[in-house]
Amino acid sequence: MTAEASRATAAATRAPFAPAPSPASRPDAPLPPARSGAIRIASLEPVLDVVWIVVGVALCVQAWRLGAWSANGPDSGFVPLVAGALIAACAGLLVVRRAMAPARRASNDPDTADAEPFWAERGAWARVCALVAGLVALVLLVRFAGFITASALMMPVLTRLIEKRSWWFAIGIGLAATAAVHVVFTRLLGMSMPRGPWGF
Amino acid sequence: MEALQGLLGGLSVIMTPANLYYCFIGSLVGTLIGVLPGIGPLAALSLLMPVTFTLSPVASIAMLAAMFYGAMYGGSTTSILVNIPGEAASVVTCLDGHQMARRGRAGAALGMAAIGSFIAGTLSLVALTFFSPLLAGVALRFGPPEYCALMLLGLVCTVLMIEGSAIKGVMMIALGFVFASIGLDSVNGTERLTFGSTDLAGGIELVAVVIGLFGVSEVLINIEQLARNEIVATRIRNILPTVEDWRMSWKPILRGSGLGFLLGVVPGGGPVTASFMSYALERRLASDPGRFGHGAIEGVAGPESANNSAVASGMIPLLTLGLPGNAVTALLMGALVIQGVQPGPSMMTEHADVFWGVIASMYVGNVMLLVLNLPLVGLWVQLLRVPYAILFPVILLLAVVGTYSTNKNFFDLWVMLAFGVVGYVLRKFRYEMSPLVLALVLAPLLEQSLRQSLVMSPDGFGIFVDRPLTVGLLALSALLVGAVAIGRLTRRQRPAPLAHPQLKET
Repeated sequence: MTAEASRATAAATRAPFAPAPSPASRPDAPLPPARSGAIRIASLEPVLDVVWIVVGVALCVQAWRLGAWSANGPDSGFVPLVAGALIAACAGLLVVRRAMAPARRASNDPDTADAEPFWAERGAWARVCALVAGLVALVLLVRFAGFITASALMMPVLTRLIEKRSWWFAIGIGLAATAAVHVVFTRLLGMSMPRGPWGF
Repeated sequence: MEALQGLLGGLSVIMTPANLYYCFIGSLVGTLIGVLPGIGPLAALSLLMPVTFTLSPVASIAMLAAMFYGAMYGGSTTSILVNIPGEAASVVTCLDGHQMARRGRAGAALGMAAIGSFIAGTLSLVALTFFSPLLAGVALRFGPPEYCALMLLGLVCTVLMIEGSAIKGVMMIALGFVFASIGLDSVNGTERLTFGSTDLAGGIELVAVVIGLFGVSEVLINIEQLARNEIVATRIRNILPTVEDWRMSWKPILRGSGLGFLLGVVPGGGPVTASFMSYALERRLASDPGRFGHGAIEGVAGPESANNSAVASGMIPLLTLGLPGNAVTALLMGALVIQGVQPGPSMMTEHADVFWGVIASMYVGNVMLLVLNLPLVGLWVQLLRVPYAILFPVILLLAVVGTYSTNKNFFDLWVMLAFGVVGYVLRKFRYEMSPLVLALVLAPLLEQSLRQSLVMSPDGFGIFVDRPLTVGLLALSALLVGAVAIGRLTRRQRPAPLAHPQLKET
């Protein structure tokens, strides 16, 4: 995808009605076709529906064991039972609607259609996974090394990985963000954050 | 008279340097997040909610509310100048606002948006001031069955107001009920859905859930793309609208105020819906609809008024009934409860200072925002130059600080992360997050009132048909569901969702 096209996509994503602001990006530029092999959201929907049905049924079973009804009316399991049944039933309804009207896929029916790829931008999946992994690392580090150390270590890494900026920029932003958040929230507002074994 | 006295009392509460300061900070931060496209009012509100726990209840709610209506002011700025809506309720403002800017009338569009917002916000507040005591008086006589029926009606309205799939909306509400029931059953102390985990026994922390759903998942969606919009430098002149502008705009402003007021009170409604409906209404009423989309000032004045009006009237169900109607008021309710103030009909008497203080703060905040927005508009535009590479580390750090500091519990951080990922995936599949948050807050209230109703009832569910008001509310719910179901079955073609999923509700 060219830089120009990607900018047009970005603008179209941000502002649905909008011609893009910069003269470089054409308002009438068609969305770039999905890359071959890109997974479309519509083809993943049935997987999610199955997950919902499993979750819904499991909730019903759990709720039944808790006891849904007692002499005094609803018992502890009542709300989870109703909610689980609703989740499973609605997922079933989505499956039926999709099966009955495959033509809707091309239309704009929010129940069934979304022909867009799950990850439209090149490298999007890598950035998303990197951020999630980075956040897991951040939470672990906060637990064992304290907030300041964790943030000073992880923020430059995340900035570098996700925004593809230079190491100097990433380290600068990471340290500045850490310092700013620490000063404003811990010092000025008195919110306490976990400290590491070395006292900060 | 009672209302005027209350309001005067509220003004004396809010007119202290500390409270004015927090109201100002809220307005400032609200404008800021309204301007920045990468972060919406819900995300910002959830990220900064923990900060307010150290403040007094009045200062805390005044600041959070100011952030919300401040975002409505700020959102129009970027819509008009660079065609990027800063938040979802300003998406329609792009249509005609940016066209006005392209024709050299950016100043008039910005001025009319700010003045319209101010007029509508104030009108809506006046209605709120006089309407709330009446409603609270009626609500004082409500028992558990009435509350139960009212919440059911609220959830039905929420589903019907969803722009995307109603089925998915029902699922999100059900999911909210599931998450709310995790932990100890408040009636008999049974452990529910904890799977033996001691961390889960205390229930799921609301702050961690909303920071995950709105803060973290929004970052995940935003970092998918590297390309950022370039900002064109615009010089803004003639901020004050002309006589001709006024002639064309005063009716849309008044209509927007009325429409926004109604949609703010209806559960599931709110500023986003209000702005879209106001735009549609103005286009339908215009003598020359062809001008719309080409810089019609009514298309800016109407929606911008409607969204501010809806914010103010959205406080009515929260302050008088103790029931939030949308995700933002659900958050405000969470903040009030943490502060030890139970919102509801008795709040007006038991916590009169908070009740009237918050209402008075909104009058003051609207004035502050008018002053902040009109002369400083150039400054706000400069903010768009802040690259996302700087914004997202700050958002993530705020997410960690906010989540942890609420309970000083590491488990909450994992909850936040899990909800961030779940929210990201579900948003991709066009599930809306607002009904989930609303259900999470309403579920304990609904369950409790249902169980109380049945305990006090001699003949089971009979109690719901014995009381006229309960019957009326339940019949209304059934009627709404029936009418919409028939409407959908007979009309196969459904309108395309207006807002892009990524911009919705954020």
